[in-house]
Amino acid sequence: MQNTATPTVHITLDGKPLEVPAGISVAAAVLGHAHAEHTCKHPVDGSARAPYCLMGVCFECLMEINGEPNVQSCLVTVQEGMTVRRQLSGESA
Amino acid sequence: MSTTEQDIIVVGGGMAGSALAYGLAGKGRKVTVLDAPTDTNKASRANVGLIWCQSKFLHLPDYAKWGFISARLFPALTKELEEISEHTIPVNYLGGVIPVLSAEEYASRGEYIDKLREALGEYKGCMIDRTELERKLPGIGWGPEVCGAAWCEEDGVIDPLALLRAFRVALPRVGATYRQTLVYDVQPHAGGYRVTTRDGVFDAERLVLAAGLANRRFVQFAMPDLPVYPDKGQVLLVERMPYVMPIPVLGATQTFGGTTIIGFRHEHSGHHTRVVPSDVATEGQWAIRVWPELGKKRVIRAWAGLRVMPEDKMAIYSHLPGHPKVTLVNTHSAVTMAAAHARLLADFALGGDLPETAQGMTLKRFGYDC
Ligand SMILES: Cc1cc2nc3c(=O)[nH]c(=O)nc-3n(C[C@H](O)[C@H](O)[C@H](O)COP(=O)(O)OP(=O)(O)OC[C@H]3O[C@@H](n4cnc5c(N)ncnc54)[C@H](O)[C@@H]3O)c2cc1C
Ligand code: FES
Repeated sequence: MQNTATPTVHITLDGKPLEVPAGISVAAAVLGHAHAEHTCKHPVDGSARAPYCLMGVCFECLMEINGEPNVQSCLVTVQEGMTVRRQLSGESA
Repeated sequence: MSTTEQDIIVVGGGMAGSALAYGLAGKGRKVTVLDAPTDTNKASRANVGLIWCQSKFLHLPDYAKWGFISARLFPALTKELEEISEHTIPVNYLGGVIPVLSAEEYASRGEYIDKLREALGEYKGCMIDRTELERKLPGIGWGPEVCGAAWCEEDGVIDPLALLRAFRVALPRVGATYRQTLVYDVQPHAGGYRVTTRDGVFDAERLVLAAGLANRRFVQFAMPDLPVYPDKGQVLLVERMPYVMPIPVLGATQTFGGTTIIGFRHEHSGHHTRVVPSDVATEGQWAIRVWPELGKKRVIRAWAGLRVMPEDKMAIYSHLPGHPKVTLVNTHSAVTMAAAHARLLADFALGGDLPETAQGMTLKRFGYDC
């Protein structure tokens, strides 16, 4: 459902290519365009977590972005060629 | 403006006011807590949650004892609060450690503990070597310089916000009223006291002043100045890690949520005569020497809170000069003391005596007649 009038960028999420609107956050891309259910696990109790506040406060949206673990994905804007991984193993890297 | 009659009004519903109000409600009194968020009185919401008795107050033995008394009252209190509030309060009563980084520090802390044991008559703690420290906290990769720790089995750690919430939920259930309103002024009135708030006027026979630093303003009808000062405590919050610290480490304490609070070591290092740098960077460096893993983690937040510090660093539990029905509470460790406040101060606020251990904690020591 990409609107052709909207500029897009290409990222990979967990190794799969994904085309998303430019200018949105990684969290928005992963939730809204890959429809991921959860994006990380809580390191203490292993519970499934996903972006929540979308404004940098809750730290529930941690993902590995361009190889860097535990990045608040709601604060990072998608860029062409960006590599994003969900952190589903439970261990904070 | 409406006027509401109470037996006793507690001004300030932070850690101290909530605990005391809870104790007063248990005495069957009509208690109202008046509390509102303020910009500066945030200590009850900005602290580490340590129930910390060890290695402090050799020069104030009664105050040291008072901490241990409170710690011993904690387990029954939190159990009761959990039942009444139906909220879980994460808490560990497993002891606490202060890691040391040199043989010299190991020896000086050991000496201090020996003196404390002598002064208090009883002290359930000692120095432990690195092997024992590793046994107690096997999940932590200690830095190479760590040669042991001061250990005390009576310390603990609680989620301070959960404790505050449990008090707040429990208060109405034990018969107290909690009103969120800003207090403007407190004055003697018609043989009792009148509290003027944003939402009207409250009259009561008795008053408890537990408004943290704002107590300085509210006592002014009875005395010009209160010997307490704001002391800034600054901490760093490190991102979540798997939970490895059921026994809290002073100065780098992992929270129940997995984050680690760095800083605030000086708060409890009452025996150091040298100046301990309060600079957060220094505290961060120290924490990394203790637990190098922290150095690889992100700092996700930093905050400062103002501690309410009585000038001689001891708690103040006192009536005001000429006002025996007004009770003042100011302490810099209101988490540690919460159980003592909930269980042992109500009688005093209602006209009785302070418990023996706390009798030296009134304003008399500052030369006031009260
Ligand atoms: C960074 C930091 C770490 C700490 N760590 C620990 C620790 O590990 N263990 C420990 O025991 N202690 C610790 N402390 C100290 C502890 O937090 C304080 O002793 C405690 O919070 C004091 O509680 P209080 O209720 O006396 O005052 P406050 O916390 O200041 O509460 C006062 C209350 O009164 C209310 N109030 C004020 N003015 C008004 C007004 N005009 N109208 C209505 N309401 C008003 C405020 O909103 C607040 O709710 C720490 C403090 C800091 C800053
Ligand atoms: S969604 Fe809350 S910090 Fe990113």
